[in-house]
Parts: sequence; C-alpha cells; structure tokens
Amino acid sequence: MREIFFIPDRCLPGCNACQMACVGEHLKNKGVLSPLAGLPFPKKVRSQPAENTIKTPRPHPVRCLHCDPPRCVEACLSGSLIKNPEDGRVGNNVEQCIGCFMCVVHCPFGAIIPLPSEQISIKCDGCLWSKAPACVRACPTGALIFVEPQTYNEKLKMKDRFRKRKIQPAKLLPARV
Amino acid sequence: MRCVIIGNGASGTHAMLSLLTHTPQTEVILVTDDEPFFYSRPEITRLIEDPTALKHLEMPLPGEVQRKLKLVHQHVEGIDPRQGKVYLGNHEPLSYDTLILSTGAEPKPVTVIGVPKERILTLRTARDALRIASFLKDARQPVVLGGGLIGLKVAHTLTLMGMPPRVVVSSPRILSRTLDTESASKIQALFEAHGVTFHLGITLKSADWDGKKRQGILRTKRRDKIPFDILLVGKGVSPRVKLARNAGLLIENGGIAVSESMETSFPHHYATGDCASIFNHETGRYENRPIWPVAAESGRVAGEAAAGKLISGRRFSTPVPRNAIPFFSVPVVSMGTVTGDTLKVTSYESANGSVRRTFFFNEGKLSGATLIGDITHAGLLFEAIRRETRLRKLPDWLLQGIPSLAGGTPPMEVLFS
Ligand SMILES: Cc1cc2nc3c(=O)[nH]c(=O)nc-3n(C[C@H](O)[C@H](O)[C@H](O)COP(=O)(O)OP(=O)(O)OC[C@H]3O[C@@H](n4cnc5c(N)ncnc54)[C@H](O)[C@@H]3O)c2cc1C
Ligand code: SF4
Ligand code: SF4
Ligand code: SF4
Repeated sequence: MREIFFIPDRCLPGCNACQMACVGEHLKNKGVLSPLAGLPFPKKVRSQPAENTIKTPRPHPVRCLHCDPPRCVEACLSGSLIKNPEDGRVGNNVEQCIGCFMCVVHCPFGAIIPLPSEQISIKCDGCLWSKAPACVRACPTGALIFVEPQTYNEKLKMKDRFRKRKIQPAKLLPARV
Repeated sequence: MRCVIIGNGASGTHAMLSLLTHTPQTEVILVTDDEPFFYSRPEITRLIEDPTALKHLEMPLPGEVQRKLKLVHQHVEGIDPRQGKVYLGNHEPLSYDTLILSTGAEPKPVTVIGVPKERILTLRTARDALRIASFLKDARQPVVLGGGLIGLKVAHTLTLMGMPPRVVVSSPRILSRTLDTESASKIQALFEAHGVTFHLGITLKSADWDGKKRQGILRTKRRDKIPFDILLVGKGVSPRVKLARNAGLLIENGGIAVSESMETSFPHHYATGDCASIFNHETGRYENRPIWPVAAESGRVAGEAAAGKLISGRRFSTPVPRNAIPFFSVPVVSMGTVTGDTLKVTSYESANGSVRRTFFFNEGKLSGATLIGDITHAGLLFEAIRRETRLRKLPDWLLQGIPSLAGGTPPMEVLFS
C-alpha cells in the first residue's frame, strides 16, 4: 500500500499549500480558494450537501498509518470509520459519526482529533474518496510524496550512500507522484 | 464450508465480515432474532428521542458482502455440537461445519415489589428503545435505575428531551466502576446542573402503585419516597449462554470460555463478544468484558480463526476495560483499572475546573486513567496502560494534555523507549 512520506529538507516554510489543499479537498465544492479567501468552511463536510460553509477551520494531520487491522475501525460505535478494502486507506464518513471518541482512545498514534463541539472526530483519510492525496498533489516542491514504503526505504538507503559523495539527496527521490 | 453465526450484533457482524473477506467461497448463514439488519446497539438511545431514526443507526455493509450473506430471521432454540446442527423454531435444522456464537448479553432482570411488570423497562435492542419511546409519551416522572454508563446515557437522553429524570443508584456514588470519586462528582454536578436528581446509596424496598393515575411512589430502606410513573433500568448485563450451556460447552466467569483465538471447548465452535469469557494469559483468568471494541475485535479474530487465516500479529489484543462517552458535549474517557485502595493517584485540574485528568499507578506502572473535558493523548495513554508502562515521572504534557508542537500526540517512542 502506498503511503505519504514527508521530506523536511524540501519543504518551504510558511507555504502551507498542503493544508489548504486538505481543507479544500474536504469541502463539498473542493474549492481551494475558499480557505484562502477566509470564507467559512462547511460544518460537517459530507453531511450538509446543500450548505458548504463551516464556522471554524479544522486541522488535518498526516499521521494516520492506515493500520491493518485498524483498531479505530473496530472500536467505532457507529460504523463511520471504514477501511477501503481495495487500497487499505482508513477514512471517516463524518455523516455517520456520532462523536463518541472511542476511536480517539483506540488510536495509539494520536492520529484522530476529537471535536467535541461539532460532535465528530476527524482524521487524515488519505483522501479516500479521490485518486491521490490532495496534500501531495498540492505540494509545489515534492516534499510530500505518495509511494510504496519499500520504494521510500530503497531511496533512503541510496541517499545514505550518496551523502558521502555530496550528491543532492533530494534529487534521488521522485519529484512528484 | 458452511459457517453459521448466531447473532448480528457487533461481534457477529465483524465475524461475518472477516470470514467473507478471507474466504469468500465460505457459505455464511447469519441467524438472529433481533432486527434483520445491522445497527449500532450503543446508539439505540437515539431512538428514545426520535423513533424514526432507526434507518440512521443502520451500519453500511459492502455490496459484495450483502450479496453473499444469507440472513435468517429466527430464534435459535438449541444447538448440537456433536452433530453440527442448529435448531430453529418451526424450521428445518441448519447443519454447519463451523459455528460462531455471538449471542451477546441481556439485561439482568429487575423486580420491585408493587410495580407492575410492564412499567419496568430494560434497554438492549432497538425494539426496547421504541417501547420506551412509546411509554414516555405520557410519562411525567421517569426514574432511571442504575448510575453506570448505560443508566447515565439514558438519563442524558431524557434530559436532552426536556424530561430530566431522577436517577436511583445503589452504590454511594455514580459511575463507581468507571471513574474515581472526584471525577464522578464532577459528572454528577454536570447532570445536576441540567436538572437531573440523584438518589445515591439506595436500597429499594417496595412501591405503591396507583393503577388509575398511573403513578407510584418508590419506598427505600432509609424511608425515602421517590415518585415515579415509569422505571427505566440501566444496570448490568449477563451473558446469553443458554444455548452453549445446554450443549455442554464450558462456561467460565458467566460467559462461554474461549481461548485467545475465540475457540470454545469444542473444536470448530467459536464464541465472541458479550457472551464470551476470553482467556487472558497475563492474569491466567477468563474475563468477560461486555464492551463494543472487545466484541468487534473478538468477532474479527473468530472469523479469521474459522477461515484458518489467523496469524500471530492479528490475535486478540487486550480485554483491558475502556470507554469513551460525551455527556452534554463534555468528553469523558475511562481506561484500565481506576478503582482500588492500593493505587497511587496523580491528577491535574484546570484553573476553571472544566478539565480533570487523573492517572493511576500500580507499583510504578501506569494502570489506568480517567480524562474529563480534555482527552488529548488518550490513544497514547491507552497504549501505555495496555503495556503496563513503567513511568518514573509523568511528563507535564501528558498530565495536562498539552499537544506537541506539531499539533498532535508525540511519537510513541517518547514513552516506550
Ligand atoms: C444502551 C447501550 C449503550 C451502550 N453503550 C456502549 C458504549 O458506549 N461503549 C461500549 O463499548 N459499549 C456499549 N454498549 C455495549 C455494546 O453495545 C455491546 O458490548 C456490544 O453490542 C456487544 O455486541 P455482541 O455482538 O457481543 O452482542 P449483541 O449486540 O447483544 O448481539 C447479540 C445478538 O444475538 C442475537 N441472539 C441472541 N440469542 C439468540 C438466539 N437464541 N437466537 C437468535 N438470535 C439470538 C440477539 O438478538 C442479538 O442480535 C452499550 C450497550 C447498550 C445496550
Ligand atoms: S487512525 Fe490510528 S488506529 Fe486508525 S488506522 Fe490510523 S493510525 Fe491506525
Ligand atoms: S467518534 Fe465517530 S469515528 Fe470515532 S468511534 Fe465514534 S462514531 Fe466512530
Ligand atoms: S492525505 Fe488527504 S486527508 Fe490526509 S492530510 Fe493529505 S489532503 Fe488531508
């Protein structure tokens, strides 16, 4: 299964394109401009199709390991957390979420953020409902990449070997997905 | 191969899902006497508020699974493990190669002398919730029996409906098995602020019931009088093991005894969820833990074991107690062992009193935690409790729930190195 990796030395401080893209991706109209313009975001992303505005922006962390078996999915009281059988990405169908926070207790990595006031919990869903993660697609420098862990490990090893030869390590990793 | 699963609760559903994922060629027959679809049991309190919400409680199943699954809506009268047969009411017996018992639990029966039977309502199924909803239409003074999680969940629902009940508790405080004394009194105050009245340390003696007015008065040993017109029971449950006991399966600690791969004393017979007592090789005891995550996980394990696909990394993880529940938008989490005189306690309370985080240590090892108002790092803490992590000093970020600089929980190595 492909995963998102972060290469800090490629990241432009203050760029935040990934965060914007993430918010945009989780809006009904997928508009990247609404977060930029400071427009209110939709309250429950997929629950109110008629209304695409919410009051507070929500954080979208890139921490979920999309475990197998996923403890959060087994703990979910409402069946809103699901693991995509095809590519293994774990996502939260917030429409169904009741905000019980059993998932928060069961994720050992703290990948799920409880929002008590909204009565939902949110997590990185790997953009389950689209082809590739929006944050990766948005990153202008390739600091976020979406590859098989094996590929990443191989490249890292190469990076280690080439470090001594003073070759720019970042060049060895795939520039884009 | 034909596998029969009895019960379509959390554990039966997860067993069915994992069986069909691992061996799609298996013929899976699911027998239940509950609703003929899958719904979330902990959510049934929503039906008390809105009886039309049943369709929202339904859990979606992948289309593939829906096509393959055979659902039989019948009560199972008996099983014969030697012949591999399941006996249904007035139907042909079903034969099977593998049987998974996911019969769950049922509320312990409660009687109060003087109260007509139909005025004492228990809550376990969607039907029970709908029945309560219909009784509540002309009720004015509901009384909830039990100050545990289910009792409070019912009280919470009634309060949201504008009908704050009286809650009668036999122990001297509410949530006596879930929270420590201070945290419990915080939750009690929260309920009281919303109009709920608590009667603690009560032993009910009898009741006077006026059939015409449909009202009554509960009498206690201490001679208190508590008016009521309907009694809602939110007390403990007992495993439904009648089928297993009659068939001669081993029963331990009230539940069907199973190994860590959910196998009962008969080969090819598995038991999961609330009806099972799972062997814990750390304590050497069989433990019955009627909570959702244990039910779901044990179901998944039984399905994989029945399919012959259970590998070591996917075994049952832990029967450690844990629960999370929000009351009036205040999140409450309880994990591990949180009561006992020998435990050492460290706690943090925020200046305005809205947050309380309490940690329990047993011989230097983290054994439990209760979090109220702020549940930051709950997942990391549960992992630490599960592994009985030895901590010399509780770091401030964990005590006070301060997020790491990146905004989340620090990596696990911070605690476990
Ligand atoms: C109101 C309420 C709130 C709850 N809240 C929480 C919570 O917040 N967190 C938590 O962790 N847990 C909670 N629980 C507990 C949780 O719901 C259970 O642990 C879980 O549902 C157990 O699943 P199960 O599959 O083992 O059993 P069940 O869900 O009880 O399913 C058993 C099924 O077997 C069927 N069955 C039994 N015998 C037969 C027979 N002879 N023939 C045919 N069918 C049969 C029953 O009809 C039933 O459908 C709550 C429970 C209730 C009632
Ligand atoms: S949220 Fe946590 S438990 Fe769930 S899949 Fe992601 S990392 Fe695993
Ligand atoms: S908070 Fe939502 S996603 Fe998490 S366990 Fe509860 S219902 Fe499932
Ligand atoms: S993968 Fe999708 S959900 Fe996850 S952080 Fe990136 S944009 Fe957000």
